[in-house]
Amino acid sequence: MPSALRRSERGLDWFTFFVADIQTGFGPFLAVYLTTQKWNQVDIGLILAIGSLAGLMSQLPAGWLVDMAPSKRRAAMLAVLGIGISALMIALLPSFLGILVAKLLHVASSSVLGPAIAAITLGLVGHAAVGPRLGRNARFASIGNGLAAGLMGATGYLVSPQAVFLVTAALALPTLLALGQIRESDIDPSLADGGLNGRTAPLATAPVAIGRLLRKRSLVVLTFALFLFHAANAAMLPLVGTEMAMRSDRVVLPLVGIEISMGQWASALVALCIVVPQLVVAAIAPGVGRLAVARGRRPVLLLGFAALPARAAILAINSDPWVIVAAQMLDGICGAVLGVLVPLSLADIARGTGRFNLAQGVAASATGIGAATSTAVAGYLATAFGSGTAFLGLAGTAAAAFITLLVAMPETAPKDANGLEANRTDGATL
Amino acid sequence: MGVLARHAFFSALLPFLLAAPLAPAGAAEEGLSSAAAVKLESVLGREVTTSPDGDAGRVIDLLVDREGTVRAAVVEFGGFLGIGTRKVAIEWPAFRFYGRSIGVDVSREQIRTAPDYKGTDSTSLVRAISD
Repeated sequence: MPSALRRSERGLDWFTFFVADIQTGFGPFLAVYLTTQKWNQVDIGLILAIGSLAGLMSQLPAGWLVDMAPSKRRAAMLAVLGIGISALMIALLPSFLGILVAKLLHVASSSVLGPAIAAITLGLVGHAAVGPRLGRNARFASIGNGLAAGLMGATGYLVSPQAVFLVTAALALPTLLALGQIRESDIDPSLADGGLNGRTAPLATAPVAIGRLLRKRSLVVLTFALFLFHAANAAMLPLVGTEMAMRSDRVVLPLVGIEISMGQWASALVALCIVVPQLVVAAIAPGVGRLAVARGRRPVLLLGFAALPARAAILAINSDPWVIVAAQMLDGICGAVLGVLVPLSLADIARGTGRFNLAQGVAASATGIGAATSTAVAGYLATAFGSGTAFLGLAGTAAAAFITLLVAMPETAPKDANGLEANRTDGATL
Repeated sequence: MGVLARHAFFSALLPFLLAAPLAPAGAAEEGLSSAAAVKLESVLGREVTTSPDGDAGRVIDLLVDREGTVRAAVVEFGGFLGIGTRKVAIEWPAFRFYGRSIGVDVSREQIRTAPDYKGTDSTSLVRAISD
């Protein structure tokens, strides 16, 4: 590998690391911050609802836009700037209008940033090498996520919730520096759109009609399975957190013998539930990428989709905090497989269409709709019938996602000389 | 424990912070205190600590009856980065105001077993220990 390309790949490592960092504060933590800014629950609910709706509506246009953008790097740069400005606005202008604008800016930027990272990756390394490279992305992203959860949690607790967003805005700078390390000339613009053979025939062909992409069976099946997967997955961690808060007893820390309060203990357990899967992803994601090249996409996807119903079933019948933390390791398997295999399968499916990023927008929309359904339905089930029933419902949905893939998902790995066959030999030597 | 220590630190610091700007304007301050007999403060977003166990939470809503009398406050406890928080409605008489900090006279066990606050009509309240 030429050293210039290596520098671009190092840049991509750190870029995925820092992007994970700057996204941490925008999750459920925003609601906590707004209550400290004397926001009432109605306004907070309204902002979150507007945010999720805008998120759903922005995925497809954002994917289309990234396909059209001549420079994926510039699209990513603008998105990071948008997220940084959004964090600054949240910290400094916590009025309704300020937060609304900041939230919409963050949603639009994130919708661009997601596909842009995968597009840069594909444009940088090409189809043959993209599996392991996506694994590497997932590793760096989860290390970023895990460290950011610790950093942001400590900042919110020891300094102030507002400081979390100031730190986020400050972290946009190293994110941009890392992006700057990726050389524009190393990114093949045609490959980054899912076009054919990039450099040899740059932009020779126009992208295919959108309808032709959307009618591909593999895309339809994967999209529906992703919807079911996230309908089962999204509510699980919040439900676990609530369980932890309700069931954890008075705790004396082993070794040091200090008794910590219920609130602190529950928070520490939730923190573990967040960090454990990130550690698993960091450990196995590159291996998952290599496995998908050596054995094909389908068996690896099935493995990841099987881990979710198993996790849900364990959570449904068990309430011991340590078993719950252990079950979160299965979440790491899901995270690694989906983090690598979804963009990889989409790269296969969209290969030669010039619509890779639109396909990512389709998958992201399904993910968003699934997640929104999940919190609503699981919340209702937990209130009406108890959390055991809610976990069973989620387990059933997760099983349906697995069966959908098992029955209908074809192998998407290419069979030509540049694709699976060539890589099979690589995989055997690894 | 950490939260309490933090409070103690700021409480100790507070007189020095306040003394500096107020010292030269003694006369104006006297006029103010006679005009505004009652000092009012917002409690939304304020931190509360359970009196026996020292668990920290935050006031996120006030609940009033038909006459508009405050009967309870909703307090959010626990969680990490906003995940796994728990909302509990606690009756208003359980709240104790000690100058800058707010205490709430309910036990850890009560919060643990209390139903999650859902904002529905039939809200069950956590009562003060002393009741």
